[in-house]
Amino acid sequence: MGAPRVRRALAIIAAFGGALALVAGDPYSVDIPRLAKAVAHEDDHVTTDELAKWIRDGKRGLRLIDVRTPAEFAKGHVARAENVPIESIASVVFNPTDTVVLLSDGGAHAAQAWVFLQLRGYRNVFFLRDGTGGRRYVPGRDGC
Amino acid sequence: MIALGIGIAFGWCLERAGLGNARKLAGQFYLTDLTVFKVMFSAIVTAMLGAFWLTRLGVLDLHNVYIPETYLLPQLAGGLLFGTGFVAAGLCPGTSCVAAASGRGDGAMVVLGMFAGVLVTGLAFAPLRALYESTARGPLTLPQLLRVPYGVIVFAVVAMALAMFAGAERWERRA
Repeated sequence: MGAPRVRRALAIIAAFGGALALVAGDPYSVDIPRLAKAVAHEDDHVTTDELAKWIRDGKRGLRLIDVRTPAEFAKGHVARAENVPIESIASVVFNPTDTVVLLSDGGAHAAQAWVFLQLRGYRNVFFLRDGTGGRRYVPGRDGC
Repeated sequence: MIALGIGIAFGWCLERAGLGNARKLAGQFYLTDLTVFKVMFSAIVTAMLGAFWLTRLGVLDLHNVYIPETYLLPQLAGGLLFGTGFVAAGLCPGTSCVAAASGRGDGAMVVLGMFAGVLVTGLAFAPLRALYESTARGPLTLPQLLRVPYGVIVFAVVAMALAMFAGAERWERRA
């Protein structure tokens, strides 16, 4: 088959693939079974002890993201935590190698932020189970 | 090892397309030789259709494909610098490696200049950091930006590529 015929054949395949894409749906559709499995296997969160160990061990790429409001964050927060209010979670940028732990008072907002980050394609994300409980963490005393 | 294999395959394809030749690349800017446009657009369409359909068929999970983050100002500045270097040298990073590997002196000099630039940027990174991290927009994609379904973007890019290929062939025959 000569080059022009090969080019024509490839163009037809591309046109066919492009046209069918119009009705093929979204490749980024939400994988609910995967998310549900992560929740069922408790792969979505860390406990306070696990987080304290990560901090003590100096886990590489660990990012502590506090999703409360700036006012709540200013009243007290885990050492090294960064404040990213939940409204801003759609635009925050992480490196693929980061391990992200989401923090909030009761844990509910952190868990919701976990879902949002999963939808944005971040996989190495966890939330702190039961939240920070609004208490002021003291480095050393709380292992953080 | 996989990255090395892909890199060698990419270099081989560039060399076979004649893109190790600075004159051929310069022809793109003077619109006398549109090989660069055709090779790169073919690669984009192939990768896009491959990623889209492999995901729809359940072979690939697009969530695991890293999308580089957008930083508007630094990428605009970097793009302008890159374009200036491309026009001045007649080679881009990939094609300069291909040119150097095939024994061309100009390719070797561009590779040398490229590494010198990387070194200088690394040494001067502290004052550049503020610009480097400014105007972050996260991992943006066209469907997100234009708020249209993925399939529409795939169709539009393919249609645009095919129309532009036909136009490029006609232009080259006339030139």
